[in-house]
Amino acid sequence: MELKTGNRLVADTIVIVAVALLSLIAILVLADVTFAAEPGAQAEASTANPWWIWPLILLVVTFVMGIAAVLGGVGGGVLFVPIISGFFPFHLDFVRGTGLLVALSGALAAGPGLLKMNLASLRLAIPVALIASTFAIVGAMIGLALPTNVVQIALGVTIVGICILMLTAKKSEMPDVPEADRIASVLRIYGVYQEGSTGQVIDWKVHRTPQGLLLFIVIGIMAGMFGLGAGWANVPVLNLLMGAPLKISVATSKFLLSITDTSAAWIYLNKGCVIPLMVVPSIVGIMMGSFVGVRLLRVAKPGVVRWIVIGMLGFAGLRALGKGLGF
Amino acid sequence: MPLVTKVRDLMIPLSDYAVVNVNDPLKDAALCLRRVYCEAQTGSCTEAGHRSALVLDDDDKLVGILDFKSILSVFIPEIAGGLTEKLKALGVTITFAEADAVDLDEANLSLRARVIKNAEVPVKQVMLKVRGTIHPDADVLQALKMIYQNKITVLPVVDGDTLIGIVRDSDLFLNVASILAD
Repeated sequence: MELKTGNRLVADTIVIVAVALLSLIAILVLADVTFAAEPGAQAEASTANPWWIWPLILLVVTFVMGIAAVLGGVGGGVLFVPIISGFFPFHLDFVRGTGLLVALSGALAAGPGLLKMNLASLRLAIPVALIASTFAIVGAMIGLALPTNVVQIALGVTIVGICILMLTAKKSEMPDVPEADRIASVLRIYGVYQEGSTGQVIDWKVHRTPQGLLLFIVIGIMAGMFGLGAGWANVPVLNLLMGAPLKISVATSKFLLSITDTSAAWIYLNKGCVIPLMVVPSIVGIMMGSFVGVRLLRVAKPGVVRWIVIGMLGFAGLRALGKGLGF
Repeated sequence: MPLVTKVRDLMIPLSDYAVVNVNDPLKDAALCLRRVYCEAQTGSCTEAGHRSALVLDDDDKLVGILDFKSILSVFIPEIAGGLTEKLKALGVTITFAEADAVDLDEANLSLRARVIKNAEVPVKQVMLKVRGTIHPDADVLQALKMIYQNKITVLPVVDGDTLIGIVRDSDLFLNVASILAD
């Protein structure tokens, strides 16, 4: 009986979340406001809206986004950039800078807890972080140097790719690693953790380290270039390719974000692409939304939300592609 | 005259109290407290059981005190965490939720497994500081003052360098309350 009520509550919430998000997007698209369309064009900003309207809308939208991210099993950072850049009249550079800080705030909040629980592995994270953060800096520089429409097209393609990855990628709780490779052995990338639910002590090691490290070059560039956070790419590479257990992969990935995104965020900060009026409401909104999302998740896990979120992400990706191509 | 009663007359001798070594895991402390509490209830003592354990080092010197709350806050950390702890726990939960791995939520793990795991934490990481000791020949009033000033519930009784027992706020209260019964 209780379960039914819980399910109904969640079902109601899904509808409310979806409707709220879609109606907000619709309002924004229909209103077609032109505010800060280019970094240099702020002087011509529309005077029709009071200054606080955008921070307020950002707060509301990111709050809903935080709920949707947690319920849909997607990173908040990965939702932020495509949706805000697709449906808000902010310049892409500002959105990417904010997106990085949004992803970073979540990673910094989780990092100490994950390390303390021995789930995030420093031995796995440090070599990977070295590569990924170096290339995140490179990615951020490339992203700011390229013309906006080119970045937008690349973003669109990436987002659609992420949707496909989310729909097709499998997870492996305990991947089978027959033997650690040489690099992993030299770097001593292995560990032990205790499975909380069963008390079982699990020894893990990784293989295919060179391929994994090469892929992190690509991941680093993409994380820096689009300000997406990179959990969507980190977890499959660590888990499926390198063979780290899912729990270790998820935790190490989040911890990794706190290093790679810091490097990339520095470039955006230096270029003046981080505006507190956008960053503060976005981070507060996402964190509050995630908090509510986690509460809802304890009641039940609705599979349909994931589809809605992936659908919206795909739509935002296509819109980024369209914007970049000038449609 | 209750208020001139000496601490020596009210204290619980060390042999009757829960005592753990500073290097023991919390598990030993919890089991010791559990045993002593129950013995106190069913045995000769008619008052409430002992609610804390004394922590001694290898030379049997008193180095700390453990109470129920300090032990429970390690067994089940989320009940006691400040804002930082809560944020950390939330961050971990969100991490797994965002990776679509909700069953990995630490908060959903069984209480039993967590208590067993956390009980391995050494006593020295958890114990509370000793805030004041008292001489066995001090009177009840002095003991009460120390308990109130230091906001504590138990006061170790020390003769010279030797720990000989403990006086509890409950014993002091009952002693004062006996004025009304006389």
